[in-house]
Amino acid sequence: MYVLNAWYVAAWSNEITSAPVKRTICELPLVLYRRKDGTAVALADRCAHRAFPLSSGRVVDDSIECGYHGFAYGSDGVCTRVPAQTTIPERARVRSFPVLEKDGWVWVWTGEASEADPASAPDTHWMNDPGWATVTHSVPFACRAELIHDNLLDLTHESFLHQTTVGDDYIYEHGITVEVEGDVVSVDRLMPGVEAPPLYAQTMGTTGLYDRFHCTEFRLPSYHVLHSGITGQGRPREEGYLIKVLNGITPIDAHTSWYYYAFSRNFAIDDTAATEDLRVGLATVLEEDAEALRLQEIGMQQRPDDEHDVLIAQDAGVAKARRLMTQMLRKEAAAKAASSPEGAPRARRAVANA
Amino acid sequence: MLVREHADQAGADATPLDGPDQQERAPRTLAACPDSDDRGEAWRWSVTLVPEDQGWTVQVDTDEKHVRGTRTVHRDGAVVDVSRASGDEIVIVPTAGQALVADATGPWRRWLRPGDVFVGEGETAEDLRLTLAPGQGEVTVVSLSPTGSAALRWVP
Repeated sequence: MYVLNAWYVAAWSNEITSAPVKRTICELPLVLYRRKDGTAVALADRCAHRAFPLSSGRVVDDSIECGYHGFAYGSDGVCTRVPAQTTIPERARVRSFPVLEKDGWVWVWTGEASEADPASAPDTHWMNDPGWATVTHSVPFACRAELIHDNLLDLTHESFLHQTTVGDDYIYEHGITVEVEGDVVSVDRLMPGVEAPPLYAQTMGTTGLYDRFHCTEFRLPSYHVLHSGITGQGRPREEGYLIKVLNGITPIDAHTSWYYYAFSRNFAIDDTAATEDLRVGLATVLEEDAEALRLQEIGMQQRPDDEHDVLIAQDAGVAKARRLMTQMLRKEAAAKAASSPEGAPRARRAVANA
Repeated sequence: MLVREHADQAGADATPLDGPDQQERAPRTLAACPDSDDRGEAWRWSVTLVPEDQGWTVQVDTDEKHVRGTRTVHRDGAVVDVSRASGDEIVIVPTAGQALVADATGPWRRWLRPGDVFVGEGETAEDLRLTLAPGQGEVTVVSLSPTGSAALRWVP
């Protein structure tokens, strides 16, 4: 089950060219490509003729041509050419998905196209802000998306899983403040009077004690911003060394996900060596997460149905997010059921005999 | 934990509401332990917003073997220091007007209004200051204490 009326990250902008790109989002196979005017297109990756994947075809004059029998589809999904005949069958069309591209991210709306509101796409402006430097990664994770959400909402795992990079023993010693508003769950942790984490301290050029903080802001169902950093003891956060970690979590299917990751910082932004060090270091962090969640996914699949997570106080945000996700799924299911009456007769016109 | 305006509703009676001072008038679970019956944990306590003839009241139900609960109502411009002992749980529910809840020792503060619920818990004691805005303000403070040694949790 997936929340479909939502924007999901499908790719980085530079991945979408005139060559077809295959993606699967929420079990929907998609093909993405870019038109000559620069517009990104997302279509169902299945030719209406014989279900051949369009991503195995090619783009010709802003249409995608099936690599099997040459059916061509425009960016609206309507078939524009059937090579073997001049008549185009009425049903020869594939589904077209709303696409939104901003700040280097390509988002696809997987639900009802009429509900796709570009204004509802998450804030990613740090990617384009000259006051910030950014490192990006995208990694396929061998786990369900829920495990990545849990991971980001409970950062005490940093103390154990990421000991050499962003972890420190003190993280789990500090409590959290959870806030829920609309479809956003925030989990905030303040760690006063501590050292900067090892991966960042060198780039920040810091020694001594600071107030460290991180606040995961989960905008359900697919995007987290981690507002993180250190500041002088007792000083406002905005004065400090700030980090915004943008996390686009895209379900592929029930057991795999794409993880789109951007790490933006407001310090040492012209330091290319620091950027490279962070790129390597953060790749390590993601590898550690990917391996841990792969193992957890196996554990989840092996676990009996009547055995459940034992949640603790640090999981308050996790529990809240799960409940909100359940509510979103129920709401969508109810709306879908209401809009698809069963047994509605098809309109037919009787043709009288002459 | 601060939950704004029905963003999330604990318990089985998760009927969407618009706010206690608006049209919908059905009981609503504000906080409960466990937060969900999905994991098979034993029920310990719940705090529910219940409609009355003239407004709303906050109902506290506990498993008395494990949890002791008290409920205090504050009104109109009151300034109240709320101390939560280690392992206790507090649930602050504005039912009319606005109230400011603040950490007595730190910068954290939030305005609460009807529909919101603030839940405090943890093994470390804490002091909060609750300030009701002048006017027709009303806030219920629920204190829950364990009868045994285990700290109370919203998520057990």
